[in-house]
Amino acid sequence: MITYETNENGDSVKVTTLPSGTMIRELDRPAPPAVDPCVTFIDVGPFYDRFSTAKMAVLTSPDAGVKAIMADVQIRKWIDLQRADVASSLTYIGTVVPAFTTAIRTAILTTPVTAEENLALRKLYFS
Amino acid sequence: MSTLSQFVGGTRPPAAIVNAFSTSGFTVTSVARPDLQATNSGARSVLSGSMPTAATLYTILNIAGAGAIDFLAAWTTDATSRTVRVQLTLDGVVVFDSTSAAIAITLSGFTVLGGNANGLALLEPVNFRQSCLVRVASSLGSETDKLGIGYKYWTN
Repeated sequence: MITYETNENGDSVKVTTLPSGTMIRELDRPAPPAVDPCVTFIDVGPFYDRFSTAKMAVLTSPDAGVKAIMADVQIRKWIDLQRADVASSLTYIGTVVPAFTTAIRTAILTTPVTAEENLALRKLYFS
Repeated sequence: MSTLSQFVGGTRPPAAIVNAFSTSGFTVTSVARPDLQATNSGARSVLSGSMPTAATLYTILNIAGAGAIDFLAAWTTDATSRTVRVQLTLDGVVVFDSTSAAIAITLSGFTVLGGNANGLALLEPVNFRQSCLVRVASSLGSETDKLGIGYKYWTN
């Protein structure tokens, strides 16, 4: 038998009485909303893939700044597209690699990360 | 007088649960994700409801009867800095009562019982003969639904 009562704080409590006599009182609150903490996290490989037609031009750039950014990216477990230094790094790349257009930069930063693009980090670090 | 359960131990409730979180003041990391542990373990998850007074324990689950509990965890639902306390009482004996260090990360907390790794559930059934009481507290008052609690049990 299931009944409901109210606790001292005004919250509903579900009361289940089993045939055995066991009585279960459970706070009758909904499950916490699912919040995905890695919705803006992207695996390193898919991050490179987002450079699209400019990928090879960026990866082969002789510019020391671009090389440093790429080296920095490679040691990361993932890239958080909301980080300001990611946006500023892409801006810098755009100033020295002509093939890396503003449209590509915008697409990298604003296209929602798909499940396939952060499969590795979810499996390794968030499962 | 001796009882059979003293020796076979199968249904004997524990006197204490000791793990990485059983000593108050422990720190948790952002990748702990006890909410995911709860989901992956098939646990029931609920919000904490109204918790008007700081550092006061509020009841989440209260069973009068025999059974077992094999998953229990608590986590934050926002990034406001607070400590989280979980108390588990079995058959009238407090077997776990521990308070975290301040947590300022959303969806961070700790597991008291159970857990999983790489998709494999690691459940540790703990028996009780008469009662099971789960209570939680936050260091902040006037809060509603700022904690998530996951639990899984069965009754005999």
